[in-house]
This record gives sequence, structure tokens and C-alpha cells, in this order.
Amino acid sequence: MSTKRSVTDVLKKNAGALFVAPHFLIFATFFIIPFFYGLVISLYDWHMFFPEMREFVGFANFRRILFETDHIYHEYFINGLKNTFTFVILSVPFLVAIPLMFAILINVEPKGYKVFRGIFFLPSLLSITTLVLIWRWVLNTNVGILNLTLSEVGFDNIPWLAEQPFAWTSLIVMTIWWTIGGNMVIFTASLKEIPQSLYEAAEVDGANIVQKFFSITLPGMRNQLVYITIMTTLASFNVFGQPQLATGGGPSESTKVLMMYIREIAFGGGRPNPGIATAMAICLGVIMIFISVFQSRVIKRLG
Amino acid sequence: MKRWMIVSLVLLSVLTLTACNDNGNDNDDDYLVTITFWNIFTGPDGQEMVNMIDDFNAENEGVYRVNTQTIPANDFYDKLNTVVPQGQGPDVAIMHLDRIARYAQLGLLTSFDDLVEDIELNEEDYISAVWDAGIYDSKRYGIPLDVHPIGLYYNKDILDEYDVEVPTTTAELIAACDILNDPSIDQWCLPLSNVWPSQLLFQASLFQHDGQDMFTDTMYPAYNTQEGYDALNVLHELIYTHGVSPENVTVDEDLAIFRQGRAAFHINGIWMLNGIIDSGVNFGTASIETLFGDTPAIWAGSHNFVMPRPAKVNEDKQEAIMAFISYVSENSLRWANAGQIPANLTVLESQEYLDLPYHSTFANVDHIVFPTISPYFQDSFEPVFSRVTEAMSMGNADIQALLDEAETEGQQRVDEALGN
Repeated sequence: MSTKRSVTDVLKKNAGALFVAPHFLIFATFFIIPFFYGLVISLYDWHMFFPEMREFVGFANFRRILFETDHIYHEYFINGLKNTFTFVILSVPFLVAIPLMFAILINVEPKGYKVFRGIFFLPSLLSITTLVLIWRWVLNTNVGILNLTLSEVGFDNIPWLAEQPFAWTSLIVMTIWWTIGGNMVIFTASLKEIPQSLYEAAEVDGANIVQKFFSITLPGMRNQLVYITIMTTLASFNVFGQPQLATGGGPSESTKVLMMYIREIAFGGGRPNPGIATAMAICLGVIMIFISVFQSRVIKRLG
Repeated sequence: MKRWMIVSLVLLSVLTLTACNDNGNDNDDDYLVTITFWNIFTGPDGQEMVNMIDDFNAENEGVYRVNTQTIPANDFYDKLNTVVPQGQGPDVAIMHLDRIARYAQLGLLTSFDDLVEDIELNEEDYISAVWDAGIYDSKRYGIPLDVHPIGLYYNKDILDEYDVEVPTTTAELIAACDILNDPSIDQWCLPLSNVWPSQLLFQASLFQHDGQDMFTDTMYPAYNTQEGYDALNVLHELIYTHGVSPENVTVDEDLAIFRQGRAAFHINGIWMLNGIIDSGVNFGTASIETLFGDTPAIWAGSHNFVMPRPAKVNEDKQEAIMAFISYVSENSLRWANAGQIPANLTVLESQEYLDLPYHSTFANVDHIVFPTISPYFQDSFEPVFSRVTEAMSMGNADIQALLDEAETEGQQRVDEALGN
């Protein structure tokens, strides 16, 4: 009997650890171990298939991609980083503002708002391949629905995926369409938490809609705003599928984002180079950490 | 009671996890040799492959058994990279010809050298170009299943209406297009995609101008030459000087226009055959060996059987693998129906094959040319892809500058890959 009790006691004492264990196992397998393994790889001239040829090179991989300006990997890194930044800067404001706008409209609860909430959320369920296939048939230069419609009203064909600035526009529009639902749901939930009494009080004081939005709504959802802005920025830095499948990195490699280069360098060619690829990934990771810390500080201060 | 349930749940999950790990070999009896086969046929051809495997299994019941898994090509190669070094790869797999040299050099493949003699497959049975292409570093790593060349699809109704013959040279193509282009009814002669498969057209054009894709000694790009310039310039001028194609056609748009019956011609791989039959267009096929230049040459790829390196060699399995490969090769007429050109000559010369409506006219197999077999092909040649796109999407493209850029990038990548 006493053993039975002691087992129960041990279980109870460690209940917290036990609850965390399953998640921790998965987290360790898929995040912590690969993360540190990646750090190690980035310090090596790494051969995936010939362990005996691996050579410790210190920070040579980083020096190469960051400072050796005439090196091909430096050019790839800079071009990839530039394109990734372009995507982040162009996309994040829309990816936050548009779902916010829709959340506010839905929150007014107009007729049929539940249906619209469902419709806006639907694209989030699509896989990236499906998303891009759908949009390609909308945006194709000669057989796309969009150009077909535009030509009815007298426009020339616009190369939506083959020329800038259309290519970026297309990639961003399809990303907005794809991700509107997730952010909108969080915004809608947080809008419900803002006490109605604040709006009533503001109305009594004669505040207009704009004043109410900036003085009550925005500050009221500051935490969610921080969360969404940071998560959206991080997701945008990791962009891969849309340019890979829709533009193939073109035109002239102007939409070839860093993730595409990383994948190619890690796995492609006669001599895959995971050392360089992980070094690039780590540099991107460091940049992302700095930017999200900076963002959260700025937004909190503004609030 | 509750504790008992927890224990059994844990046991159950442990059992499930182990069960996932053993390729399901447990239930087979002792004499049965089971091999795993990974293929990349995700299209309609995949179903035909599965049917062939079922028939093979039925014929060899109790002796051999093939378990197959269909994996999309991109995932397939990433997966091979990770499982083969751990000895967890499949026993036999399908690989594109242009990948074999890389994987052989990385030590991920086993050579067929000791095995091909034991079975009745040899050089005389195959189109010689493709049989030779399976060799890297004087060892055989690939046994060809099929060749998939690019060719010309033409809309019979449109050609009949304008009384135009199928063109075989650039001049004939341009002349035909002058007649067939008709913006008033939204009809195009030959829509050319700037993106996929434009790199295949460029390679075909390069070979037809007697050019080379890469040097086999230095591994450097060989396309920045007069021949390379002419090869790319033809494609550029077809669009911007002769207007055979609308501008800014992107991937699959060329196909869509042809399938809608609004294009007289379409160039694509034979893998598109069933997709074009489905469209209901009344069409024929023709070989393109001199469409861009004077030296007859047709770009082609090939699916090959390869043996990923096993943890330890198992002779029973190797026997089963060879039996399976022979079976599929001898029955590859069925594979032709799935849309490919069999690599096996006996099948190619059979009356049944010649009676197929589209296959034998699609490509003159004597002029099939494969890209250079080298582990560094991708490093050397891939940089030209995006430049081909630029040359075909900009009316004022500077062809020479584009080739210069591609060559420099290719050289740098080769240097890096070789550790120069």
C-alpha cells in the first residue's frame, strides 16, 4: 500500500513536468536540437554525405557571405536579403491593417456578418500550392481572368507575374488574400474585449469615429497588435512558397528571396554546401530577432 | 483499472511507433523477398506504374513482392538525401537521368555493374544514347525506363483550314506563322512560355546550332559562344522579330492556349500527351530536330532505375530488383500508353508501338541528345535559365550580356563546387 501511495506522490509532485514532457519532446526534436545542430553546421565546411571531409572553419562561412564582396555566395545572400526585405516592408503593413479593417467591420455585426467572417477565413485553409495555382490562373498574362476582364474595358495585357512592379504586387495581394483570416480572428476577439462603456463615454464627450478608433480601439488591443505585428513580420521574413511557385524568383531574380537561395545552396549542385546555407539562415534569424524586439519596444512605447 | 488503461495505451502507442519503423516486412514468410520501390510518378502515369507493379506481384506471388511509394519529385530528392546516408533508403528507385551523376558522386547509389550481365538486358536492347547516359565514371548506375523528349504538337484543324504543312525548319516555321497568326480571331501560331519549359527549348536550340552546354574537363559553362548566342537569339527573334508568340507567356499558359484550340503549335514534353488528348483538340505530333538550327538534335530526359546505397548488400534483394526491372522494361509498351517513349528497342520496334497514334512521330529517336552527364551540370548550366527567360521576355534584351552574366555565375558556382 505504501508503494502505491509513494508512486502517486511522485507523480503528483512532478505533475507539471509530466504535462510539459510530451510537448517538450517534440519541441526538442524539431526545434532545439536542429537549432543547435544548425549553429554547429554553420561553423564547418560541411559535407552532408562524407563526414570525414567535414572541416571546422570557424566563422569563415559568415565572413564569406557578409564581407567577401566578389564572392558568388555574398551576391546571393545580398540579393536574397534585399528581396526578402522588400517583401516584408511591402507586405506587413497590409497584412496587419487590412485584417484589422475587416475585423472592425465584422465587429459592427452587419447583416450576414457570420457568413462573411467564414468567407474571409476560408483562404487560410488552402495550402500554398493550391493558393498559387488559383492565383496563377487569375494573373496569367494571356489566359488569366484578370487580364481577360481588363481587356474587355480596353486595357492592354499586363504581365502580372513576369514584370516589376506587377510581380511584387501580385505576390503581396495573394499573400494578403491567403492570410487575412488568421489575423482577423484575433482582432475580432480582442475587439470584443474592449468595454462598450468607453465608447459610450467618448460619445458623450463628442468624439468622432476617428478619435474613438485612435484613442480607444487601438490602445485597447495593444497586446494583440504587438503579437500580430511581430508574428506577421516573422512569417513574412520566412516567405518562400509564393515566389517559388508563382514567379520562380523572376523577373531577373528580383523576387528570389533568401529562403530560395538557402534551399538551393543547401541541397543543390554538385557540391551542396549546408555550412554556407545555415550561416545565411542564422544571419536572417539574428536580423529577425533584432527587428521583433525593436518592434515590440516601439509599439509598447506608442501605446 | 485506470492505471491498467494507461499502461495499455502506452504499450499501444509504442507498438504503433515501432510498427511504422520496419517497412512492414514482418508478415512476409521466409522465402518471399520484399523490395521497396520509390517512384516519382504523381500524374496519370503513376496509376499505370502501380498497375504494372500489381501484375508483377501477382505473377511472382510467394517469390518476389514490390512495395511502392509515390513521392512528388522535389520531396523525393530531399528525402533521398536524408534517408540514404542512414541506410534507410528504398531498394530501388526512379531517378531523372540528369541527377544520377550527382548522386553517384555523392556515394548514394550502388552500381549495377555486376548485375546487368546476369539478366538479359544489354546495350542492343536500348536506344544507344540513353543506355550510354546511365554510365558515370565508367560504372553503370542507371537502367533506362523511358526517354521523354520535347516535340511539336500541332492543331490539325487549323493547319488544314489554312492549308499549311508542319514546319521542320526555322524559315518554314516563320513562313507558317505569317499565315497562321490571326489576332482578329485571337489565334496564335506558337505561344512560347518564357519560363518552363523555355530552358529545354534553349538546350535543344543550342544542340541544333552545334553548341555545347558545358565543358567536360573544366566543368565550366560552354554556352557563351557564337553557337550559344545564335541559339538564344533565335528564340528571342521568334517572339520579337517574327511575332510567332504573344509576349510574356508564363508557365502553362502556352499549353492552355493550345488546349483551347487557339494556337496552331505547341512545344512541350511527351509527358503532356495525355493532357493534350484530354483537351479534345484534333492534333498531331512532329519531331523538332531542326526547328531552331541545322544540326539535328532533340532535347530529351529519361527516367532511370537506380539502386540507392543499402545499409548492407542483400543478394536476394538484388535478384528481385533485377527481375522487377526486366519485367517493367519488357512490358514498357504499357508505359508508352501512360504517355512516355519506352527506352527498350524491342518495344519501340513492335507493331503495337508503331500503331500508337502519337508516339512514333513525336521524336526521331536517332537524334535524341541528353544534357551532359556530370555532377556539376546544375552548377554550370542552371544560371542560364533566368537569362533565357529574360531574353524571351524583353524586346530589347542584350543577348550577349545575358550570356556573359550566366557564364560568370556558372564559373563561380563550379569553382565553389570543385573547391577551386
